[in-house]
Amino acid sequence: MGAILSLKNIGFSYGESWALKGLDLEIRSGELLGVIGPNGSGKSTLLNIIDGILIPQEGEALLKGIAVSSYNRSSLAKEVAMVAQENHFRFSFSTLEVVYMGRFPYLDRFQFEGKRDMEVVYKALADTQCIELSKRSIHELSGGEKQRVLIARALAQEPTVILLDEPTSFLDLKYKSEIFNLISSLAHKAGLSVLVVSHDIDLTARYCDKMVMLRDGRVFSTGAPDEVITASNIEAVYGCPVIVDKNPVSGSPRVSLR
Amino acid sequence: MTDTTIEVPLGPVRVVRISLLLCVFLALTIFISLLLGTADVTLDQLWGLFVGDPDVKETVRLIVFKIRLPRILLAGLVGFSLSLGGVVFQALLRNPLADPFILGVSSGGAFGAVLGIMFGLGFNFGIPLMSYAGALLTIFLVLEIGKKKMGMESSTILLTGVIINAFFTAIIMFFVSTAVDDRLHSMLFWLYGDLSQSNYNQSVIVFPFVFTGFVVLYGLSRHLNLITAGEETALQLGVDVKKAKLICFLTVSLVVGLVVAFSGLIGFVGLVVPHLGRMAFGSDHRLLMPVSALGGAVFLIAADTLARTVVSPSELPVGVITAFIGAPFFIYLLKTRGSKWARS
Amino acid sequence: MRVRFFIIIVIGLIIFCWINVPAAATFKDALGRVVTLKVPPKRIVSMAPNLTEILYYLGLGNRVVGVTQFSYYPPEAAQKPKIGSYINLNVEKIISLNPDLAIGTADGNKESVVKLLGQAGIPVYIVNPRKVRDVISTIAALGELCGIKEKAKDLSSCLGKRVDYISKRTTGLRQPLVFLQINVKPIMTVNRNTFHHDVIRLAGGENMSQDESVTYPRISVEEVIKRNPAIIIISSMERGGRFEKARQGWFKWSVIQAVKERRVHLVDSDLLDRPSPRIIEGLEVMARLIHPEAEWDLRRSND
Repeated sequence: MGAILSLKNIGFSYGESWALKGLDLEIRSGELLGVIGPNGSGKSTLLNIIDGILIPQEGEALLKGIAVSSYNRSSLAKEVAMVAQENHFRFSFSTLEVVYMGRFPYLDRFQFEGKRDMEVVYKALADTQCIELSKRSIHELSGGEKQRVLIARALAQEPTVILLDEPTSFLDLKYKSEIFNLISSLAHKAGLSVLVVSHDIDLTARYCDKMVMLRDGRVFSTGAPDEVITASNIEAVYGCPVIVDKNPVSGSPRVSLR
Repeated sequence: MTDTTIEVPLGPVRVVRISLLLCVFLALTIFISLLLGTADVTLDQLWGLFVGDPDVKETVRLIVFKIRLPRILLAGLVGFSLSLGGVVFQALLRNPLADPFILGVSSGGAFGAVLGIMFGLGFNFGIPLMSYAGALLTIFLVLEIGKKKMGMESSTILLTGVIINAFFTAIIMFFVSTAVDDRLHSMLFWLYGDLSQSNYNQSVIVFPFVFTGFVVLYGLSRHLNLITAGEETALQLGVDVKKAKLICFLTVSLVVGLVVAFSGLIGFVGLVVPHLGRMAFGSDHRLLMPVSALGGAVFLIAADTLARTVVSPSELPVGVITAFIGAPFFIYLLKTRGSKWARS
Repeated sequence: MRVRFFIIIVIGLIIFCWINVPAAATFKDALGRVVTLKVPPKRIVSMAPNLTEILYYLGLGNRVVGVTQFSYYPPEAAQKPKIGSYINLNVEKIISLNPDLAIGTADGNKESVVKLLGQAGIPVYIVNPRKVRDVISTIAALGELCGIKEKAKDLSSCLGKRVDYISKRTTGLRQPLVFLQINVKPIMTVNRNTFHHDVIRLAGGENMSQDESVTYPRISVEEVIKRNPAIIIISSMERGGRFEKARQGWFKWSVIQAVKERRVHLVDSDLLDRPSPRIIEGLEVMARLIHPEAEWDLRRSND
């Protein structure tokens, strides 16, 4: 089974220097891939290349074997869903209305939502435990609830790939693990390809099947979490001395400052 | 555990039902406005006119059909367009303080009209033409300057609009300060909205534009829903944001520029009515658009009727009435919802 | 010998100066202000277009050294140096013209300007005509102020006779309702506090909007239809153009009596809106339009 998403030798520049250079990355279906790296290492740029907002100057990004740039916006939205870091709703929408937004690529210009859309949205809400939140305004939700709703919206797109940009940054501890549990089940149970960018090295290492560590726009290390999360790697990329040991319960790598 | 059934958030039935309700309300407003004015028109006479009773006085027939009705129709079309433009720009710019004039179309139109008044052109044809030319000029300027940057970036076109407004307003002020007598009065009343002496030709010219504009914009209603959630979000959900913004901007500007050429500048309609619509029916533009547009028509017809009855036999510029009603309401909105707007 | 010669020179000089020094005189202007100036004033600044007209009418055009922006009548006046508009006078310019008299109007000129001119030592005489007959008395007063009392008295009494003639012929006649339109869009008219109103009244008509509270009220077509005037006069600023269009525009409202009888006329606004000698002309035009049935024998020349 080939890779759903395959990036080869990607190079992208905003103008002066290369934000990404010679970047290779692959993700299969049912795989949870964690991308870590210090600020400015190109993580957000990477996500924007995968969801087609930025077009790389070098290399190719293939989704299901076809170049990402050759998809039109609508068809790309049916394959790739993104949960962004910042989500500000200017006007008040209900949770239900927000999740239904994910159905946009499936509807014609003057068409209203129908039975199939209802079913997809219901399932998305159920999978993210958001059904009770349906009627509430998005402005009233807590951080964790809002995040789940946005993941539900992503699911409503019926994508093959889900991208998450620092989904747990602003969340309390309890909700951090809740979200990671959720995205883990999306990959392992629902069979989606999930790529999560995070600052939370421990959590990412605990849940992800594969990890990619970026430095200065290049892949510094890739592989299983305990291969990637080593003291020497962290020190080289983040520039600070650490101790890496194993979490006694889960066995996944645990990083502590020295 | 209760099983919440999932419905679609908005169905066509609800949209049609509420729109029809508003249409009925509009018809009622038109009817009442036909009865009110400087001269007396009684219910019997109005009814008589509608059923074709030949006994109704010629004066009454003249007043209802030649003076009041054309004016009411134009007011309705103008109110419809301004509110529609307001709701679209508020979504496009993700700014609850936006109105259809924020991107400069109005000041260009005003500049054209003031020039036309200076040259002594006629109010039936010459001045609206000059006004529309001015509006087109500003549309062109905004597009040129806006395109240079990352494709119609919202903050860029907003800033361009503000600068254009300031520039043309300064020129207009110059003309106003050097104008004399009747030209000065005409300019001032144009700048505050003047629906007096309207005729059917104006409505006939305006209607196809307004109708087409509505259809085009309604086709983008779902796009606008997504754009209000964030431009990148909308992109990721499959919206061609740049194209949507361009079409919306052009359509609104062309329609608003046209109606303003006939009615002068009438503020607050495009700012306040969309918020009323949102408060009553939510932010889904598939419902909000027809609600705002029809609501705008009702609002302006009512305001214009007030303008011509409150100090009868004299008349106030309709923009004064809309400001008197709109401003306090807007302050109320700011107090109750301002915190929500301030967020992000 | 030399001393006597010297004394004769000095006495001669004194006599010379005494003959040529202008006498100073004191007047009271329309606001009751006491104005002292050297008579006759030779360098006069006119601070409103109607005052310029009056000065030229009195034959004092050659003494005028400064006029306001819109002083186009008579055409020669337009050649004179400009001192700003009558609402926005340029004090510096006035002072630089070194006038020995400035004539102003209470309706428009700013008090602060008058004060400044006073401080600069320039006598300022303010007029305040409010009715047609005030214009005539103003002409006489200005004539006296400028040292041509007799001539001014003749001219003004001639004007007065013309007004009397009209007034006499219209007394007792039924007063038709007159609608005077001074603006095209929006439609604006005049109340009783205007010259237009006084002209209508003297010409034997009734001003439709005389009881409005605003001086230049904006009214609707509905109101005109409702009041049904017998005559519609449009005060026009130019020949043809938008005013003629406005006149044509009235013909679609055939229920109005004025329209039915085709009594919709354009009258040059200069003849109706300003306190100048031409307002008498305006009165004559209006009288003919309002009471065509009376036989008018109006000699236009001043006699």
